[in-house]
Amino acid sequence: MNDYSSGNSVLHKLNPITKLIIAFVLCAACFVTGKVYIVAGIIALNLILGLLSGTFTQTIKILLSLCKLSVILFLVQIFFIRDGAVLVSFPLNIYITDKGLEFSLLFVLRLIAAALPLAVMLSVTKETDLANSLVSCLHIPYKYAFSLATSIRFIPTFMEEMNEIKEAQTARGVEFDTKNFFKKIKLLLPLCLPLLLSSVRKIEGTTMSATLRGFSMRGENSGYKEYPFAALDYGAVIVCMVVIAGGIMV
Amino acid sequence: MIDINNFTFCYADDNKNALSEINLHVPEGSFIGLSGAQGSGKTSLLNALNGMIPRHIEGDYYGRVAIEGKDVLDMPPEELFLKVGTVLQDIESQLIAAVVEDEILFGLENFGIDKSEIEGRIVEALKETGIEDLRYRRIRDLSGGQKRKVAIASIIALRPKILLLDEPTGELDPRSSEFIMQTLKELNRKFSMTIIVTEKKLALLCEYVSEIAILDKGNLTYFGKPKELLASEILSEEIGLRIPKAAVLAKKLKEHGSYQGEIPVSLDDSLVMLGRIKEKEFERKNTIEILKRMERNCKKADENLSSRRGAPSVTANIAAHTVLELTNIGFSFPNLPIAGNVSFEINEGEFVVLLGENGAGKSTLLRLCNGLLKPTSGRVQAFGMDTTKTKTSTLAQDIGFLFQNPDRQLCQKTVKEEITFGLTLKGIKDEVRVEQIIREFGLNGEKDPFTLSRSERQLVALASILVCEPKLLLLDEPTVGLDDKTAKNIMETIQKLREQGLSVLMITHDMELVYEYADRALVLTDGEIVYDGGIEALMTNKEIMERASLLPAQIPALKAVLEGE
Repeated sequence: MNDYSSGNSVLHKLNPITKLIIAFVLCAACFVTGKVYIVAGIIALNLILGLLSGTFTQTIKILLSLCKLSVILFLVQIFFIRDGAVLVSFPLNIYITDKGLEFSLLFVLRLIAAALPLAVMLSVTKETDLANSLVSCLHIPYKYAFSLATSIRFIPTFMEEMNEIKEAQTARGVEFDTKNFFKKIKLLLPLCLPLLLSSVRKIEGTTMSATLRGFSMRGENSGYKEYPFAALDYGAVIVCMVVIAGGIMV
Repeated sequence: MIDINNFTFCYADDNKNALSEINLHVPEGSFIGLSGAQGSGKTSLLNALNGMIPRHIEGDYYGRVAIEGKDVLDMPPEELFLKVGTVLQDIESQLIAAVVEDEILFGLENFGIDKSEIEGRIVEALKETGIEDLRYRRIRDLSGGQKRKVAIASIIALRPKILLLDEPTGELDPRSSEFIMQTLKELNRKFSMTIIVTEKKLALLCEYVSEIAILDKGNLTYFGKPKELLASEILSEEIGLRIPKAAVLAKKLKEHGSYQGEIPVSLDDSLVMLGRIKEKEFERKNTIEILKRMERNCKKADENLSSRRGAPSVTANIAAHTVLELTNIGFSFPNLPIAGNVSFEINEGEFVVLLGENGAGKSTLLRLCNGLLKPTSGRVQAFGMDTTKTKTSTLAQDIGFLFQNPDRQLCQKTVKEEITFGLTLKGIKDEVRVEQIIREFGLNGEKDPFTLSRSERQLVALASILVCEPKLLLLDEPTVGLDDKTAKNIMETIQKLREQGLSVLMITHDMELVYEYADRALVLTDGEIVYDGGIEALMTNKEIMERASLLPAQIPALKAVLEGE
């Protein structure tokens, strides 16, 4: 996830700060509204954004992995809410109520709708642009902006590393290709150490590379590119405001 | 330009000097090659020049390192870092940005280069490294060679007076390696930039640099012209560097009195030398004899094995024992499709190398062989088992796989546990075997693998695979970063196991190793196997060599000159 995909779409052209605002507002909108259909609408809006930015397949992939997690959460939730009219009942005093169904559905949809916008926005933002715009527009010190941007970029690297470690261990005869979920988890534990060590090594290297290239000398006005707010940015923010206003009023 | 006086450094957690009593004077505009075995102190010396030692890396520091007469300890970082540009060995951590342009901008912005100058510098840096077309590309989509060029571009955009590069050709194919050295030579000539490059491939280094420095266990044992180095007696097996075969030949010819000129340092020099010899029929025949003797010396395979060399079809009739069979394999990966017609087989006891340029899909093909990747069309059979129907962890019983990065394989607390782990997975308990391999590889069983050097970690990973006595060994560039002595040691161990029927499929860019140890070569390029046959025939096949960015090993290249017209 979060891997930058290059392109020339409307979303790519937006100011990185605008993109953060969009992500934040859409996320907030899911929580101010109590209506399932509005949250579903926001998910749909995210898919449209994915389509616009040319990262549709990536967006769908993230959506699917969120759905997997949601199914588990949904099942846990739905049996724990006991009030409301009983819809279905099972033996051992286990039943599903209408309130439980509605609450759980809203819960998982919110989760999906809240996680998607940031993922979509990050996939169309270069981390250097993000860091630089945080510095020039929001006056956050570069050190922090850089760390934030780099740590976001580190997530896919980290996951790739994990996959390759798993690959290497499978090739050695460790049964990572088993279908048994619990067995897999048990096998994963000893791999935390190599993952940690190789990550530390990588971070050390990156620190050295950054230091040698004058990282500590950077000032607020060092950025070469400028990040002005254009009509497009104001438009995008207005659209987002309409969405959140809709969420509050309906 | 650079003055190093009595410089000694010892890492904080070590009791041995990494560098001792180094004295070196480098005039402005030099192009210097720094060579030596792993652990000889090459990287430490670079880090002393760029100030990482002692600013970032702690330890005991004696003596003086000065640039343009100023002690690096007294120089403010903005001055030092701008004057001395460094390209690190680990390219993945060197590159910080997502897109090429941003990578170059990073340093320019940090050092506060005037904004009106920036565009010009980016364009120039891209032009000098020949990657103008990559400006807006995503770095992770680039090949290893392209990434190296991006790293160099991002440093030269800063116009450093001194450029340091730590093994910039490590994992590159022969032609990409030459291109990098060529680029450096141009930079050195055009901008009279002082360049210091560390490199283990002595033959490559000698061809390009003006001076060579040799480090041996932290001591500077030689500094001077490549020609004189090759003519001297300094180079021995003990230093761990591979002596170019052309130089060995020249020395032998001198002993015979049939050559009086200088020791050749480049291919062109060798051609001049051989040109003179070719004029006399007697000398020509004599030299071919010498080459043949050298060839017998370096090809260490025993008679049984070498009889198979270059004649796989004959072997197939006799042994006909196929361990791995790929039939019409197709595989699609975003940037790297393997066409649907890749077919080959590997027979018991064979040593096959898989060659091709960086990014040709060699590693992908190797992963298809043990089922880590499944083909989209065609069939892979290992020991009669279809990889789509058998789990990789089951196939691992018979197939050993060594990855390019050994760290992903290591997961235990001590070297001994690491080596035992592989056996335990197979349900074998055999202390003796473990002890024996630890001895053979010269390892310390009690040490934590993660505290070892990269090359030692590589050895541990290999030992933990070989201890399981696999029937087929898949190796992904096992000798990258290793010096010649260690690499040969590994090859010898594998050679011994071949006598018991081990088959090997190895990816490598080291054509000298290919020449010395392999029976057969597969060349993968543009998603197709364009060559499947003997080593000698490949080395003289100019068309295939060119297409796959390969260069021949020295002995067959020299022989071809003498035998051809």
